[in-house]
Amino acid sequence: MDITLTSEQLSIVTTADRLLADLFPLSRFHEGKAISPSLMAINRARLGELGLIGVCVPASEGGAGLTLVEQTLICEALGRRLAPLEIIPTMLAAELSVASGDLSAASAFMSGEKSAGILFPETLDATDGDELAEENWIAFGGAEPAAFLAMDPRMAGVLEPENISANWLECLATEISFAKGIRLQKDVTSVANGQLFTRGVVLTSAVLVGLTQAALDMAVEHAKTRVQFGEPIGVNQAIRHPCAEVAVKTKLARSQLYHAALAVEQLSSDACHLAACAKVLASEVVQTSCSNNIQFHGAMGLTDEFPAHMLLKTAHTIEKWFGSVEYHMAQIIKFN
Amino acid sequence: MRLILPGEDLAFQQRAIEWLVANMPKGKRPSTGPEMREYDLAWIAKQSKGGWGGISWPKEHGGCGVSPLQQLLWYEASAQAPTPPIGVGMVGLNFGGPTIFTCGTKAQCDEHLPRILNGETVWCQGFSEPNAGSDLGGIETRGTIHADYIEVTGQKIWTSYADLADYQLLLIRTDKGSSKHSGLTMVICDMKSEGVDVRPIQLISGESHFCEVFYDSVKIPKANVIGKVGEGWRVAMATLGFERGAAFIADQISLAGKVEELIALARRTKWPTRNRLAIDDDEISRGLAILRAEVSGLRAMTYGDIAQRSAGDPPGPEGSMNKLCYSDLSQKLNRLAFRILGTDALAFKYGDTGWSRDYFYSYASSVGGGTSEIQKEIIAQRVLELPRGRRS
Repeated sequence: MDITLTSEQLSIVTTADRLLADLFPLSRFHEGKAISPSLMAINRARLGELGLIGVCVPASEGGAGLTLVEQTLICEALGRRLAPLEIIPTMLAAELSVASGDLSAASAFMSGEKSAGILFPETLDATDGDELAEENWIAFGGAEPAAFLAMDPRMAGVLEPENISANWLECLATEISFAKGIRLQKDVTSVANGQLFTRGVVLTSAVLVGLTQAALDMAVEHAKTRVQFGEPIGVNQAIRHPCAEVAVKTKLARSQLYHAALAVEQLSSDACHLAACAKVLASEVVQTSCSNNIQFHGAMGLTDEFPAHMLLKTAHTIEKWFGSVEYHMAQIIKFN
Repeated sequence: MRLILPGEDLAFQQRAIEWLVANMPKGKRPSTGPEMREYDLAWIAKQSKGGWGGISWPKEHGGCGVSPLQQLLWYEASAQAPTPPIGVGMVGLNFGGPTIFTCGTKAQCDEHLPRILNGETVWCQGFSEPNAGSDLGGIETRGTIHADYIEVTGQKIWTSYADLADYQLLLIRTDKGSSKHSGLTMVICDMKSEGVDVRPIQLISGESHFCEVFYDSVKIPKANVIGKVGEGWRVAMATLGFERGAAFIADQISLAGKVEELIALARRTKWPTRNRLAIDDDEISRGLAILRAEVSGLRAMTYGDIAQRSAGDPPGPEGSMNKLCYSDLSQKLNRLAFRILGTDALAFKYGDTGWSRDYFYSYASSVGGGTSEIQKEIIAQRVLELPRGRRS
């Protein structure tokens, strides 16, 4: 395989990165600067205009007509810039709508006019059937989602928000709420999701790799500039060596991620396995990178004002999407 | 980006697999001594006769002259076969030969390169000393320059296969008042020279291919200087570049096979005290899942690095990143094997092969070829651009 990015892919990364930094500055996590639902819709529309939501929707249906690899790069940028997580289900809702022939819904999602939320079964172990389970779903939604995707590894269904009777809780990751113990309405039509779940595994791994890189960059920057005992703290091996270890594990996770994205896109027979490996590697390194980042910032890392905790909290949240680490580890061991 | 190999590389891979399967030695490899030397050299000679000698060498020096990707495919095919390891040929083929054709004279190339390629000579590498390990600038072995020879007195240590070698890449201090990286010279030392004394060191895994080498007024002809007198550091850095480069890939690739072997072991090993299979233990199965994910990631990473490098580029810090991943993985793998085997792992004596031997040998992976601490320094400085670390 060759996982070197092309110049077009590199320019997508730059575009997405700049736009996300501009639309979703870290300052929004501070009191009084939160993005309102209406501003969120405007920001989503900016992403939509540039084709960053309908990335994988065919050009004939109004999308950007790109592949999972480009979508992966965009999701990596979402993680790196701590962008709102609702963009991921919105991307998938656009793709599912196209697949099921509902082009007006697809257009609303990919233009950013509407956002989608997502539901997963609390446990994926008993999800082998052709029906979605009735009970015990967990829902995640951003600002005023227009629809929810209910998804297990094989099937998917679309729910209207008013059909979800839920006790919404605030989530660790800001800009997203979640609810547990949800019962699906009996009339939810379930369709085979094709590869959508596996694509979701890849995209969440991409967000995790982005978060890992953001935490590493933050830690390294601090190590270069924070002076104690007359020297930058980065001269100490207790700081520089863990940074080097994370840099290596990040490269490992990212290499696996790109390989998995390519394999899923090209319908390789081991695509699910490679995606599970990507999720496991990204989940492992994100924890280390985010924890180190908090520790290396000393007491500053403990404050709400400094965004190190947001990286950790977002990582803990997105890690639960599209199958826990334990679920994917079990899949990896089953693979033959 | 590309998932499938281009046609010509696919064809190369196919040819390599077919040739290796048809020609690899069938008998068991002796684990030590002159028998091992003969076995390893015979395999190198066979590869050379088959047109596969010097896979990482350029054509003008008798090598295959193939792209970095095809070198990788060759190593991968070898690991899958699986062929015997490069063994005593390691230094000559991977570091010694490349150092000579990069920095040496035409006479040195003519004398040594064909014999290395054809499996006629064994090389070792005399860099480390008791007081110069990670800090290679601390070398004290003295070379006194005479009219037509250099007289060497001192000691080297951790020299792999010195007891079986014909020649040595030897780094000495020729400028008496010099320190650190200046005043060093690289020479070719004939291991049969008078005054050379080799003593093998017993390792915790049972091997004794590491040696101490003592030099008592050894006379080395001036024609054996590689590069110029006083330029030894530059030459040594070239050698170390090869050590952290493509040659190392072979070890990495064989790890993937070991992970699969370990999963098979966990599936058949019954734990008597718990009356269940090792694989049914959550901690063991998750450990194995992480290993599987990591070898998969390491492979993708290696392919990624290779794609970015054109033939002839010196390896950069990515070699250090790969090596760190490899040593970490190799140690985790062998520790897990040791746990899966339970008390069976305790039956081990020097000379044995198997998981227990591999477990103790894996401790060497974070020491040899530059310790993990040194690799992290390289990454901290060259990849993360952190300020230079403390030296005191």
